[in-house]
Amino acid sequence: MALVRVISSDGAAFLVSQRLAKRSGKLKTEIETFRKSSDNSEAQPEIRIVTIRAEILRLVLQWLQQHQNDPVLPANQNEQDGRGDAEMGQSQWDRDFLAPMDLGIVMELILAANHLEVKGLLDITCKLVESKITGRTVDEIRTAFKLKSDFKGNEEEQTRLENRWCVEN
Amino acid sequence: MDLDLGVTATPRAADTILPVEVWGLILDCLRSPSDLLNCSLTCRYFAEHLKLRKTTYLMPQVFPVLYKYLGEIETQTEGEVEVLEHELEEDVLIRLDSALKMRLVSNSWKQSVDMFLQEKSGNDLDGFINDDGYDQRSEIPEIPYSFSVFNMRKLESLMLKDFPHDSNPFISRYLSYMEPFNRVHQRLRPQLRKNFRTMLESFGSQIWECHLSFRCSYSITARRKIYELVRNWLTLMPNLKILAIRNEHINTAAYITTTCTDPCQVLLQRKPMPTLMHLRKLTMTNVQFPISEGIVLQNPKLHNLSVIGDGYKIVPSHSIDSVMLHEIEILTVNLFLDVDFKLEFQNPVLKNLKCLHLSLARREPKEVIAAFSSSSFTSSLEYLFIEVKDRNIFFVFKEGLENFALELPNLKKFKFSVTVPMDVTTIDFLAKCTELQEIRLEIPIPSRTSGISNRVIQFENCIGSMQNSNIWQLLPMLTMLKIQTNIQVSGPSNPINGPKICYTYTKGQRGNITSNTTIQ
Repeated sequence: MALVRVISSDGAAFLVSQRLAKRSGKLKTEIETFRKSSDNSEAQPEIRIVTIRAEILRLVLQWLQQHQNDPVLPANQNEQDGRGDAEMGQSQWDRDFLAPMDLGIVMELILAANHLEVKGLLDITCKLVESKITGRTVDEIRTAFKLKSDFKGNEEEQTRLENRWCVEN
Repeated sequence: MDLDLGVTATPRAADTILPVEVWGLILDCLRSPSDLLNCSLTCRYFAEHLKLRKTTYLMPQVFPVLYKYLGEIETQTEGEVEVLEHELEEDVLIRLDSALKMRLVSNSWKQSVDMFLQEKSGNDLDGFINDDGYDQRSEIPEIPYSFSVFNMRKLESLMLKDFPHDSNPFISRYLSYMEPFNRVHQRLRPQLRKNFRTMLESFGSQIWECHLSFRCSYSITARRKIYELVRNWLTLMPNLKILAIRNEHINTAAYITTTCTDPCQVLLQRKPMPTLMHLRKLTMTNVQFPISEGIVLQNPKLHNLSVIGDGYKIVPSHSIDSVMLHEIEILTVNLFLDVDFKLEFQNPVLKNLKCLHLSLARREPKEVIAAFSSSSFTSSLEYLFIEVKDRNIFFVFKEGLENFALELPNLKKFKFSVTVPMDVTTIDFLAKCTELQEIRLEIPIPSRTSGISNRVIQFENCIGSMQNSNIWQLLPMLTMLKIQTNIQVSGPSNPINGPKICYTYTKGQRGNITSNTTIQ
């Protein structure tokens, strides 16, 4: 089985099958570039991902492993609004996978899935964050994201006025 | 503790350099999202310490990805997630509502939303270089800052609310103005102009991108009036970066020639347009003298200029001749009547031009190609897009591109799009562009063969097997060749409608050519 070595920003190396890695658009391109530039067709590609730390990279690879037999979602699926059909790919496993994560980790996963071009993972993570925002009050959003308002003086009131202008127009 | 941080110092764990409490104080001082993100990637200790602030400092990077997902409402029914279908408009409103709510959560979230909306128009130079084609218009933010007669009553009521001047209601820094055109609404025009001015007096300095649309006839009085109006408005928007002006009056095919005694010429001297220090992109559609000249004359640092004439000639040559546009890198010209291209291209102000998009009608492309040989941007031009189109289908190009050569030694990308009946049986005109990396041709399938066998580039009769052409030897830097043409059908070919066949040839790093054919 052909393998590829994927190295995180903090130096952790993951040995994964090329078949699995190629389900990430970014890794697929990197492997193909390596193949074209390498004289030795047997050489093992080594890919450094300088923007993703080990904990997150492990989660991405874990998700890819679970979904390795799924049909690959085209990057331009549902191009009109830019969304893929997240629900099509969301299983009980996905829900269990995301359930223990705090939203900070989920946001890191969004950036990682976006960078590595893993459409299905991007869809479910964005959908999760979106569900904590859409239809919620500002206080509910703050609670969900463990944020406190850091507006000073009348900044919050001014922001409300700005928003009102925008909506009323 | 040993604080040797010299270049020869051995890498050590953070807590052996400074006590963790001190690192905590330092990290808490960081505000910039990029600094915070970089720190969190530095070591486990930093990542752990900044973990709690992740939902704050990651938002500027997450929001652009998340934005397109905002606007879906889902309900849980028996464990199944059901997504409600929305009309596009409703989606936009929900997305807007979510984005606005996010502005209220915290200062950093507010900045994330604002930054995204302000940068949404994008960098046009990058867009041109990276995109397959050419995106002439910047994307207009969805937040509705368009002032037209239809929302005038609301606008008036907002004015009466005395919005505080130290706030910025223009989250996206974008504003458009469109005048009513039909007779019924024309009577509202003076009030709309007055309201617009009132608003600019309060918030004009907040605007970075403005689109103005009006209707101006060719009478001297009308042009003078609009000149003064635009001048007043631009004076109130000193921080503009992008300006688009459009004249909707398209029924008159008159061509304005100016003389020294033209009263509009006097306006340029007596009441010059303001200098907009940050203006980099200017798009003028059907804009007549003296507005066109007035703006260009006072803004010589333009980086990107588009001159578009919708159905008749406007006056770009005068503008370009009279100013020093040495910083211009992108020029879009879309004209339909007589332009002396040779004279235009020889203009020394275009010596740094990198990107040129020419959209032509009723002009022989060979004439344009011939004009390049003596152009001032021969050595600077890297991207060239020639589009040949005509509304009058009966206008048929009679001559081909034989005996002409594009002499642009640094040209990297070339796109040639023809949507009129025209036989492109040769691309020999590219033979001297030896730095070409990418060629895209959108051409109708030739209705005849030239019968000439001694072509330089093997092209005629082999567009479906270009991997065997000598083009890869003649243009050694070429890595991509894409040819889109209509599918051969019996009878006269139709270059506009009908299915298209697309041949894509790509050269790998080992020099092997791969081909791919798709039907669109």
